[in-house]
Amino acid sequence: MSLLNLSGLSVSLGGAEVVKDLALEIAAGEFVGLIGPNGAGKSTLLRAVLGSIRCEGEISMDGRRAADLSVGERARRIAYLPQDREIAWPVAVERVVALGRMPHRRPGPGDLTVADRTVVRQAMEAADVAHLEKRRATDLSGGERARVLIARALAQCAPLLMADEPTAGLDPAHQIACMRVFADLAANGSSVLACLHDLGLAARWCTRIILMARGRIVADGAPRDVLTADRLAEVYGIRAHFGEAEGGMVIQPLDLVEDVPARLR
Amino acid sequence: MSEIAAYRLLLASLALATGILFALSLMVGPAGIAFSDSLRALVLGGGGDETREAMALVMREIRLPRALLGLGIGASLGLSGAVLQGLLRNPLAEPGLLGVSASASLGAVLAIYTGLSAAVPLGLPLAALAGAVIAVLVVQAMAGGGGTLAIILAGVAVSSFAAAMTSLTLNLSPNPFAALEIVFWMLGSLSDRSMTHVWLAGPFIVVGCVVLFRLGPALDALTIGNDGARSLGVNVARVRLFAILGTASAVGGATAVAGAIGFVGLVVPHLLRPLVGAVPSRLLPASALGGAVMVLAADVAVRLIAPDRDLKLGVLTSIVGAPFFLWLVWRARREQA
Repeated sequence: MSLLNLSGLSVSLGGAEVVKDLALEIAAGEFVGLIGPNGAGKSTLLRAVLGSIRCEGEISMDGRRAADLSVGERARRIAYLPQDREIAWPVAVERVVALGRMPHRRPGPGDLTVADRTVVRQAMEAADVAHLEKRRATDLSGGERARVLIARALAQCAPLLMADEPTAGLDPAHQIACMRVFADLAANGSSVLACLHDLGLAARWCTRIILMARGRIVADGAPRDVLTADRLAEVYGIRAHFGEAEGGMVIQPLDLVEDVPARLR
Repeated sequence: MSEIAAYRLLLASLALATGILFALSLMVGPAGIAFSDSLRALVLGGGGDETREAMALVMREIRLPRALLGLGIGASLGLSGAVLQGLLRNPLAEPGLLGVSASASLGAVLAIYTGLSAAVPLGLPLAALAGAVIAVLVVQAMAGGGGTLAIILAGVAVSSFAAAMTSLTLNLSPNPFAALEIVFWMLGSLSDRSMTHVWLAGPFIVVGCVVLFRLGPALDALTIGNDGARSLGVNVARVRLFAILGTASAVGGATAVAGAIGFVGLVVPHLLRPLVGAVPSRLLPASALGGAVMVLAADVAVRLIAPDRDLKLGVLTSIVGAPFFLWLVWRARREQA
């Protein structure tokens, strides 16, 4: 069954149509990389699904119309990692991660259950922030803070995780670790929809790539089918080196193609 | 000591301090009644004896309302300051930001100017409440659908307009006595309030505080921003609405009977934040108690410092609050360096 189904989705921001008549279906067990140039509408698409900006068209989750679901019911179906790594107050890391359990808790006071604590612990270990649990989140480096927020999203244990540039600001080891965690989620039957700019990571780890440009989906399919030299030249205006290593695809962007201004216009 | 134990100890200490200051507030006053006599008069009444009757009157009609108002108003200011700082994710937010205090003051000032306060009993606090309600309706209508910045801007605009109208009223004031009364009222005070004031402001304060207390978990989620909170199942627009309405009710009620009491809503949450691990939901009960402690202490202090000069409560909280806030800023800067 499809976890997320979009049809005829359009979003206008400040008079400009940023997402145009978009259709998309995500099934359980997929790790989808959403790629495309700046301003293609990737983040806007995620925020429209989240429900924080107005959109036209149909969004359904688990076969139910999103409009019929309360904010709380949505939160149990979709976890979201925003692009801004905002943590407003000097709260302990474990408390930030524990926020992920909020959609599963009964309203009213009361501390985390043992089961909640186990999930929080596992999420912190997966994002490699367990050793920081007592530190104040605002004292951490940008990359550490990003990992704390990844752990927070993981602790939500939603069937679908939408992550907006999850690897931005991470060192190479943690970038790979993050992709690994997402791939494991997908292998265990959850799905991940991640906006990515690193084509190499996307090609290597995602099971499916959606390429967006100017508010529309340009290509959708397996990494090898979507990431071709022609498409990279057409959409990004770049040329890249394609190779093979350890049974997977390798892409390394090399340079802008000639006549760039015309192509990007 | 575990984190939760430390938090409970903090709340218990604040509650104890509130209790002690409440009792002190009942004992301090020009009538000079002995402690045991004052308690007996408060609880048992006069019982026919003339001196006892007088004592009971002082306790029940003068000191008790004053202490109760100090408790409720302090809690309102501290709590709404903590909620607004959490909502706007800005440590400089305070109840006055929404324009509620300035508009309530304007309502009161107009009541004094037009003679309504003298003609109708409770005319002044009712006019002040009306001012607070109008301010909230305007802020919500202008900024309800927008973000936090829209609320701040609308609040600043409403505050400035209310302050300008207050100045205009003073400017056109027909005689110096009316102007003096207006100025004195605006300084903020708890003296000469009766149980009628308690019954008038009480319901607004209680309803407002209940609404604000329930926002704790949502404010925790807002730590990671509006979209983050939304992804956790928080209806951010509804939280914003309840924060505005709760503040308007509690602070509107408080300002209506006591005038503007500055700096409590700003300083108290700021001071207590490090003691609760900066967790917004834990800051709410702590700030409510902390606000009560600060206002009750200041109200006892004005009676002790200048027993016969009627030193205004709002003047004292600002005189102590502002340098204290500077010290906090200085200390925070030194810690960062």
